[in-house]
Amino acid sequence: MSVLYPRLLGDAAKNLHHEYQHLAIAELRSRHALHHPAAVFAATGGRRVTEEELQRLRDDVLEVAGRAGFPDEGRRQDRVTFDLEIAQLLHQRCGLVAGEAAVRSIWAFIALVLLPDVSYWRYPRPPGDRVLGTDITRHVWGRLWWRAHLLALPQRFEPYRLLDTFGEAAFDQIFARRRSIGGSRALIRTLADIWPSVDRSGTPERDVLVDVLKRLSRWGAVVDFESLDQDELRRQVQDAADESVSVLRAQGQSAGPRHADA
Amino acid sequence: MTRVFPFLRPPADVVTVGPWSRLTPDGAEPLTDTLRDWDYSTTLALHRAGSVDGLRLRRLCGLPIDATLDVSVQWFASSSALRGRAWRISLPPEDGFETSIDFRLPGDDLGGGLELITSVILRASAPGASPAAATRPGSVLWSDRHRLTLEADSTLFPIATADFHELPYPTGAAWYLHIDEDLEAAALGSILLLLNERHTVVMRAVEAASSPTEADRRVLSALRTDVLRVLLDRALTLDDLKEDVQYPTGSLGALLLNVARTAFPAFSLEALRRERETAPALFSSRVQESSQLLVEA
Repeated sequence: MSVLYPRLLGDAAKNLHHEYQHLAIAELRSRHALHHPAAVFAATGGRRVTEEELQRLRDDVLEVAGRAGFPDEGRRQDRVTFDLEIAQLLHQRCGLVAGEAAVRSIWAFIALVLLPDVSYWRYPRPPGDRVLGTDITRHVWGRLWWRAHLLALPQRFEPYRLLDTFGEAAFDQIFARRRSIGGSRALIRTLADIWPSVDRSGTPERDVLVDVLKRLSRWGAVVDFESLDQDELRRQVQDAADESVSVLRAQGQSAGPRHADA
Repeated sequence: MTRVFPFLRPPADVVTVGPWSRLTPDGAEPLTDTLRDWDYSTTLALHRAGSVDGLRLRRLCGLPIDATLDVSVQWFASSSALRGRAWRISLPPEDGFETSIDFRLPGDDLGGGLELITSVILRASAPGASPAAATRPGSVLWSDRHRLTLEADSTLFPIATADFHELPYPTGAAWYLHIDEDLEAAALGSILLLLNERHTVVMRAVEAASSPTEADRRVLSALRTDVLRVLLDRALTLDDLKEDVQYPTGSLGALLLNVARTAFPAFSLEALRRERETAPALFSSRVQESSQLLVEA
């Protein structure tokens, strides 16, 4: 059964963010709570998360954060590892279904009520999108749940092995375009699966990825990727990647070194 | 919006499909446009019968007899923006091929609007195909879409109760309709009707909504009118909301446009904006009429 989380109303979230962005981590720790007067449960299917479950979730996140240096600044690589561990933890433990995870105000509750100290540690002085319920693709916690959901494999053995394929910026490209590539988890997983083996021949990863996504989006207008078997889907995604690399390399060569004759 | 396919496609009559039905322990029932009893824990058992002219379809698509085709069904959920394959069968090269589409759809990834897309797909071409025929596996040769709404009441208006004394809303107010501003976001997560727990008259009426007294009915009517008015206010004050924009299915933008069109089919958004600004009292009366305020059932 799906677990429902409290939704933090927009005005309250904005007020908390306004207040919290200037507070020290230690002060934010004392502000965390398991409920908030402006956080409400909506009457959709499922059962309400209990305060014990929220406390356990907070404890587990704090443990992972501690390994990544929390409350100190820590190293950049530690935060990358933190994100990967948290993505898996949230996806495995929250009991959320995708419909509920698309409700942005539940992520505002988790960021600003349950875990304000860790939220502002992960993104010091963040823009509102990181903690408010305005954009899941940028949200400190919501984007990690979705990253795990889109990349988790339907298997018992190492279901989260694709999580670290893309860096944060690269995955943002995919997440932001998930509607245009049809919301197909099979397609996104396949892209993640073949990505390490794509020979980019020195072409920047981001450029290749953006071009591949555009190509898949164009093909997706007349092709049903979901109908394909895994082998065929791999072949098509590989084709898209090869074409992208080839086109970008040709463009790079024809542009030549800038101001060569100057 | 008409999609242009860069390959030959057959006329629609190469496939005949029956209506969708929902299988329950009591038997099959027609699949309605809204499933009010649905929630995330529901697994839908769906069925439709179909007949496909597999030979004629290949010929009209410029494909040889040994091209491999499938009939498949895909689902798309508006709240999660996810899709997946629900069912598939190989289509033999024979006319009048009878098929029975049957599958179960767990509720985990669903919510909001649900689209069921029945398609005939090219799985693999073969030598001898026309140069104008589809070549890429997965090419959609024929398709049919069916849309329905899951958990209709709560999709559009998730309802929550709260003590307004604790919230930045007037303590004596009866309700507050919270609407976000991102027009591309799922309506499910963008709208929340908050009822004030302190307001006993409203709380009683909503709790008795399935069998209301006459007094409850009047309260619910006032609530419906006010919800419509607030939604229209939001639609008409958001400059970004435009009639010629195709908002994602199930999004807040699509919902607001739909509310305005359904309430006032004869008015453009621009005309409504003008009237709301220049003749607010008249506009208010129109909202009353459209929502049938206090009209006896």
